[in-house]
Amino acid sequence: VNRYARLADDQLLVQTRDDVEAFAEFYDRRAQDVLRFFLWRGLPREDAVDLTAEVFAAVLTSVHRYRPERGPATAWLYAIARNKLSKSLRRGRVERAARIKLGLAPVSFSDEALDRVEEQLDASQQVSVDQLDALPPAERSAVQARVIDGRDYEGIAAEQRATAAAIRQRVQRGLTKLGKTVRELP
Amino acid sequence: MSLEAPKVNADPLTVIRSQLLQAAQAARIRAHRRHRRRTIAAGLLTMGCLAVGTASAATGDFTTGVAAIDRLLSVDGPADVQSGSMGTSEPIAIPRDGGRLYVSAYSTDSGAICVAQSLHSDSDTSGAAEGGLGGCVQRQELVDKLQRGEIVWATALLLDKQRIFVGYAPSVASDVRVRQAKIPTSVKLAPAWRPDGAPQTDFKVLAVYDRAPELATSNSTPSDDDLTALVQDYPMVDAVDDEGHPLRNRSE
Repeated sequence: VNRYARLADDQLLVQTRDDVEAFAEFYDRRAQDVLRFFLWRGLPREDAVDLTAEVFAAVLTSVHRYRPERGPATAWLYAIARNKLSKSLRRGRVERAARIKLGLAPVSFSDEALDRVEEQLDASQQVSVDQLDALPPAERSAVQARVIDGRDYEGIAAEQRATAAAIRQRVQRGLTKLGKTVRELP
Repeated sequence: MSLEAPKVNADPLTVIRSQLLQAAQAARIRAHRRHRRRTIAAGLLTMGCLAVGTASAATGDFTTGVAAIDRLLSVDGPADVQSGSMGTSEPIAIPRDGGRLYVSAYSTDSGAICVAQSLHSDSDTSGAAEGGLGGCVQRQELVDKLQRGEIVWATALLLDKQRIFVGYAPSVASDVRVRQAKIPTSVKLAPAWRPDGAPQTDFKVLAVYDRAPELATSNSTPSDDDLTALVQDYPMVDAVDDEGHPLRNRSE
């Protein structure tokens, strides 16, 4: 039995400081989401995979600075992802600082391997979209904006002429109806 | 002769997972040894890892995946802010102290419409720019909302004391009006643009910008929460047609 399966993301990050298995569980939950975050922005898949590795390396090297009381784990994770993307753009190359710090060797993947990972993401995305179709329009729109597009509650609220609390409720309601098979992005 | 590492055929996310777990274990063992023995040798091991990592840090040039956005962001050479016709919308230039910010939209293979920002300094004559990729909206969702005459926000930025909100307006909008603006606010609309291979996805990139109200008059350093609140305060706007009539269906 995986003793970490019942822990929330923020608990996993706190435990990661002392236990690598907690990090493994966090990675298993979130790696596809982070990869999708980069692919969704149009990055070539090699760079998207490379940046995903860099983000989780940064999680390992900076997890001692994570403070659950300051916000959800996913918000912290995506702040790292955005930061890594900005730095990569600024420097004109995929950011590697965290992997260098950990001593990780660069890995180059074959086209076949990259095809496979894209297919996996497509499959999970397809399930999400199919499921979203079953939701009422207001919930579908909120879950779409929040979960698929990764936008913040306030931005969605302003656009949909509702309060952030109302949008949060719609997202939660929608995710509950979907059996929470779709993970929420920050 | 160039040496190229062999390509790995295994699942990338599994390989990365394995690498990270091994590195984390190794780092933990090193930390434990350091703590126990506090020897110089343990320090040298870490330095060795850093050196190996640095030596292998050279990677290929980064790309956003859209050539025109690479040019806009000066990823590969000087920035080209005229690249409106090849894969991006025509950039909007927003004046700011000491330079300009260009914002442009692009379409991705995964069916999203995203925005990119490119920050240029007047004093830098090399053409270099600082770039960023903003929020993305799924193409179908964008089309649905634009057809209802809505404005769709993509991202918000805070540059020094300037707030900039970027979004999309229906292509038939001739102007965008800010409702209940408490301070002078500027609006810029790009010409209508349609991503390649995306019929009925015509839209105009929109930028609404002002001097952030609290920041413009304050000399004290604002907190992170204050700054976050400022860029989450999206303006209330209406897209209007040539005759000044709002496009959004008011009966909603």
